[in-house]
Amino acid sequence: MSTSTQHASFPATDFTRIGPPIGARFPDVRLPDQHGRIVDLHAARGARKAAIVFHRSARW
Amino acid sequence: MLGAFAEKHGITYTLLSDEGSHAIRELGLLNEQVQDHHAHYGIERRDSVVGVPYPGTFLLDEQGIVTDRRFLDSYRERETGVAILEQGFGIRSSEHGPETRASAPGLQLRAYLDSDGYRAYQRLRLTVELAIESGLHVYAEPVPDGYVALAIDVAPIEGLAVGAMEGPTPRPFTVEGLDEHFLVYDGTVQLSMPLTFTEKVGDREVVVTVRYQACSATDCLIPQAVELRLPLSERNNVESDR
Repeated sequence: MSTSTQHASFPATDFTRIGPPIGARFPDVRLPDQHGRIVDLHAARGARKAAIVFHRSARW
Repeated sequence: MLGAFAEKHGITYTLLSDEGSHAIRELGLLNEQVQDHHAHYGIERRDSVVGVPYPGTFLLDEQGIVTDRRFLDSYRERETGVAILEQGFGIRSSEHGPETRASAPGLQLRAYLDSDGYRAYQRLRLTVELAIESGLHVYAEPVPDGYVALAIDVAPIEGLAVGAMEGPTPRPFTVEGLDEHFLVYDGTVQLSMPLTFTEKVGDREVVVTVRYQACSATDCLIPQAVELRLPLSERNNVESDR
């Protein structure tokens, strides 16, 4: 058994438990965009497919 | 803040701001492990990093139903937009890195990377397309002794992690009178593998070797090793070029 902490494995995440599941309708989201306009996610995409990308803040 | 960020980085798609992380919490995407993740990478604890989501992508169909969820184990590693479009939606992106083509016995080869540049921890994808001549096939693993299976090798570069080859399932093939069972590809086949630079190593050339043996039902051509070279420039990550 290794006692080294330097190569400890990356803290695991069960991604199946995070966020809306496959097969569910993505919840309604209303948030301001980069121009300060309030965007309703489903209204904005109309009847089109969409990729919703989550990432950390633009601040850091 | 988002307006200036979008302008600086040439972002034309919609960016949404979740001040206070209310939507992130309601969606169940709040990253409660971020301090552990940072500790793993030796990053000092900072209270300002709370409230961020797990980085990932949800793909929605026309009705708004989630059809795919794309998360990577390390928060540092991210897919390219091209990979999300091509793998997630199955549509061919109009933009990718420069292509290299080669003619070789029994087939035409085409290879390209998602982008002409790499960023640290961005997961690029190498795509190799084989257009196999009609009447010929190429063997896939596993092969009996004496045959050469299709293999794609990327020459080692320090700091470059190369993932496993992905592609369509090869079809079973048997030769009448022979007791050997094969798996083969024919027609046009696209294979890909993930490439991730975990450090910046300057502008590089990715050297790809495609090994294969093309055969018909009765004859085999000599096994080949074809080298393809793809130039790749180093790019700064967003947080380090502000």
